[in-house]
Amino acid sequence: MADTRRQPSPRRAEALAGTLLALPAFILMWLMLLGPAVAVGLLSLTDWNFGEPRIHFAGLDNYHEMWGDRVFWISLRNTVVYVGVSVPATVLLGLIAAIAIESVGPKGGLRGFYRAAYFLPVASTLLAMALVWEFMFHPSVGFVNQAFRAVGLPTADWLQNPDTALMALAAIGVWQNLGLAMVLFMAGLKSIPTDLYEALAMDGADGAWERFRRVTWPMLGPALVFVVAITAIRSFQVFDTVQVLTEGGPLKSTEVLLFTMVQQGFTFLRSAYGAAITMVFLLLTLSITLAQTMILDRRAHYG
Amino acid sequence: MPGVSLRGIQKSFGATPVLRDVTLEVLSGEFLAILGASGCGKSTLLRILAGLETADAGEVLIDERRVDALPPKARDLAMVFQSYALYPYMTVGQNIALPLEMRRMSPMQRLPLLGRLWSGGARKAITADVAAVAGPLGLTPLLDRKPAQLSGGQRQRVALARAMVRSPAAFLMDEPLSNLDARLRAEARAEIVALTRRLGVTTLYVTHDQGEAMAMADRVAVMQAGRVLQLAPPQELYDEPASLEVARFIGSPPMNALPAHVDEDGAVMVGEVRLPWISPARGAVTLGVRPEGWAPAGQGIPAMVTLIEHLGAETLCHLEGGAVLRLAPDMARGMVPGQALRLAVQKAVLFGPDEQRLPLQAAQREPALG
Amino acid sequence: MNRRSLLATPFALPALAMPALAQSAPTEISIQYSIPELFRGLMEDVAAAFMRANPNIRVTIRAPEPDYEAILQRNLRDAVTRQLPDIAFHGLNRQRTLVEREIPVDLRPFMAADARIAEQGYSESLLSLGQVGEAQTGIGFALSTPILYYNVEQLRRAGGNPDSLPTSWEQVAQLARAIHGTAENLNGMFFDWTITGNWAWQALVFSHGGTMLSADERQVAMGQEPGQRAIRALRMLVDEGRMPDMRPAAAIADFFAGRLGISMQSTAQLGRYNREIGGRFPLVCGRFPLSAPNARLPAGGNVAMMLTRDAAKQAAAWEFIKFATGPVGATMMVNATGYMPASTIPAQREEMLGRFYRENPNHLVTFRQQDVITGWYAFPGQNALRITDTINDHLQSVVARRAEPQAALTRMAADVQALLPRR
Repeated sequence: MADTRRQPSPRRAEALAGTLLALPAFILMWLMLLGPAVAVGLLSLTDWNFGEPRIHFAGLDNYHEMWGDRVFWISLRNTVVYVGVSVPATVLLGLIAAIAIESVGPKGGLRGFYRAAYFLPVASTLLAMALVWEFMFHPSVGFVNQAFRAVGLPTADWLQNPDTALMALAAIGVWQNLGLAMVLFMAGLKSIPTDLYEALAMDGADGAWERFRRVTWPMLGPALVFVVAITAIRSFQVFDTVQVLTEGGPLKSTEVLLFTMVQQGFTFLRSAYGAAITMVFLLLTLSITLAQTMILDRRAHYG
Repeated sequence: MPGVSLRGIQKSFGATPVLRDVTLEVLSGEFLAILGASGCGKSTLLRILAGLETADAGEVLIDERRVDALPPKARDLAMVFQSYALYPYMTVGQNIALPLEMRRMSPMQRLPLLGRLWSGGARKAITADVAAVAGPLGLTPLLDRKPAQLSGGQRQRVALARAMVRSPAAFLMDEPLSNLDARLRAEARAEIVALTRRLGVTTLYVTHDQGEAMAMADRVAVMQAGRVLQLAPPQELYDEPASLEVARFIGSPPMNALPAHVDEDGAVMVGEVRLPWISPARGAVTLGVRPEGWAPAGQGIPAMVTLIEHLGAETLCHLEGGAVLRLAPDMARGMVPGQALRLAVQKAVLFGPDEQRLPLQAAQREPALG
Repeated sequence: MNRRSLLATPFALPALAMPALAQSAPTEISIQYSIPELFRGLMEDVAAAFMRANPNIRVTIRAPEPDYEAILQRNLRDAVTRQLPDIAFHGLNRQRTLVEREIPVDLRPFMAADARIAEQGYSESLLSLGQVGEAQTGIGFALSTPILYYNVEQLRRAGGNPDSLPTSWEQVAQLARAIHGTAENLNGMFFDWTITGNWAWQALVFSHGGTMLSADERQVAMGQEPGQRAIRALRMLVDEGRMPDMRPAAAIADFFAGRLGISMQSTAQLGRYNREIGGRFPLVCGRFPLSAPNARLPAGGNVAMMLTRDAAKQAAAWEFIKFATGPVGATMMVNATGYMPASTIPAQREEMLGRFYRENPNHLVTFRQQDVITGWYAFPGQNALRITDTINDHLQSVVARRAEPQAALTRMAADVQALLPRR
């Protein structure tokens, strides 16, 4: 009898200790991550405009307005197109670069050079780089048009033409994320045991294509899912280039979610409406993260 | 008829020589173990044979055909890797089927997704062959699982099945049992021998475990520092090691090496004790005696017991000077450390100063004295 | 708070009237402005001159914001955190947003109570630019109007005459086309329709006699006949005047480099144009064409606004506002920029700006446009700033020839109507 009384007490103490130990992380998480998200969520249910002395509950008015807002849909569509173009291109080019650099071999230290060169854009501030790109895309003296002219391709004022501006920005996005994708792929390639390639050779396949298809590609599964998720999230967050190079234009052709959000929330002072757009943005990034977690859990782990 | 020949193989990694002029003739259908400590070059030799490495010099022949310049897939060999090297993203069935797919199906038929449209017949035959090889190995219920869901022993059998599913010119096995625990290893040993015997396929089996090599192989090649020291059937290797190196390597505990000399008459002497053999050699030699090759007797070589190990089936008496005496437990009863013995040698081999084996004949006159 | 209650406070009166006595308790006021590339040196000079004249008041200048939008956002944030500067210089069209948030202090009581207000020489029409509703939100500090800058060399080469500049958009377009035809790689004109707050579009519509909204601000009016003429004029500059669809910054750079003949810009840029051209070619300014008898032009620029609610600081702030916008400050301002002041006195006095204007006739153009000046219109409601952006998009589609003028105007009017507050 006495035992049963004493029994729960250490367990309770353990639970208490656990709670105490988790508390700092818990508080920080709420303070830094969940708290602001909840605050933004609540803000999106009001009619508050930046700087106004009064605030009222407005229910789903902002979401209703968003539903009928042409610019929001353009922005969403542009964002999806941007992600849809830049993510596959980043992944593909990153994979090619990683395989190419890995096949260079360790000789001569060239591998380190390439790795650093490709990774540079990831580490540099895009704001400064955007100015370089503005020059690159300059209609007359820019490198892009000069190169295109040299090989007889059609030229354009890439950032000023509504038909090409989004693609030009996507190209910059690819340039920026390529190094990250490449480094992640290189880590993935390194973790492939060489005896799998040898087993494959013994099993009768030693061409480059078979090696890639039967071993490299499937073994890169987890790296691939991670690269896709991270480049997708980074692409969804495209803002700097838009802000610096096009300001959403011309004619809303580069209007993307984050830019719309900032413009509504800060330039147009529609804080509550901007908060509502933020919620949509959060939902999108959250669903990518969830999808990534689910796919990784289900399929890509080979134990 | 030679199944696989390696002639004059040399290989260096950078400045480090790994194989120095290795020649091996493996008979067709033979089970040959390559035995050596790690780093002796045995795996490299196997990989050169497989085509995964190229030799710096020498010839590789399979069924009397030069294959040095051929890629692995053209050599018609199957290999079992130490790590098994199963494709983790494929099911057991797909793993076993892959060698068949690669050999029997055209590139068009092997296309992802699309290939399925026009490879129905070939695929059916492959499935049947996979089932045929999986059955005897007990893999039938596991065919749809991924390697990660299997135990070590099961993975090992999948690797075997993948090697066996087509009939290669030879099996190459690189320490296939080293990742298994002791009990499984003994089982798998018998299983592999039975399977290769049944298939009658030439097998090269690389191992560092002399027990495996002795138990499984028709012949064993003992390698050290990039050279083959001796190539012989297990019993011959044990009884008549070609050199002191082999003698020390084979057997547990190893052969006792006793300093000895041969007098002018050719009599083999250990200290003042004359042994019942004569040799054409003269001067200082080394006498090799297996732990069970001598026994306590009334007269013979004097020795002192320092330690007694009762191992159940046998008892090992460690002697002063590092030699070992193996006794049946009955014989060892009452023996204590510190006890002085006289040992009569019943069976021995003789090595010269160059550590190579010397001829030894039983002396005519005298009976065994010790 | 008005002048009377201010006088009742025990410290304010001596502080104002007898600076020497108040030295032991100086009043501190903070000011904030934007567009440092135009105003930094000027503001520092004005503050220094003011402190010399008023040793009992210490003026601290806060870090300037890059433009009118940035200082608006900054002060709105400051209002939430209660860290507003005591005085801020805001764009004319941003006054409404600030008034809606009850941030500026009405200056009417200060003016009414100030016996020496007449010495400031404020013109009624220029004062009106700082009014929202009944309140005097601010007093014009640096005011501008849209004008046309001509490169005289190219004007002559194309057969134009700097003494008889175009007075209609048709003439401007013809001249631009002629300039464009004189050389390769030379553009005739650029009408900067991107200037913040739809300023250039308002100028076009107002100068055709139109307005943005109806008088009660419930209906869009820019789609009516004056607006239709305005949008057609814009397109005519593109079609007939060969105006390129390019970034304004590039166009301005081209003008400085002599690769652009005519540039429609604010008079605010005059100082910069003179500096950048550096005498490489003669520059002449011409009036913005007026295309209707009741034509008006929107003023640009900024007003000095009082934000402090503290009585002592308000007294000091009022002194500073008077100094900066009055004859002394105005003289300094005109010398440093191309803007015009709200005070008419300096231009009339030889020792102040009389001589300056005679020697710099380009600065006088904006002065002559005073008679048609009107406010820089700010749209009502929470979507005010978004309407600006929407109008810009439609203007761009016209300039880029992606939409017909009439169709673009119809859609523009509909879009703006949808963004107006529903009452």
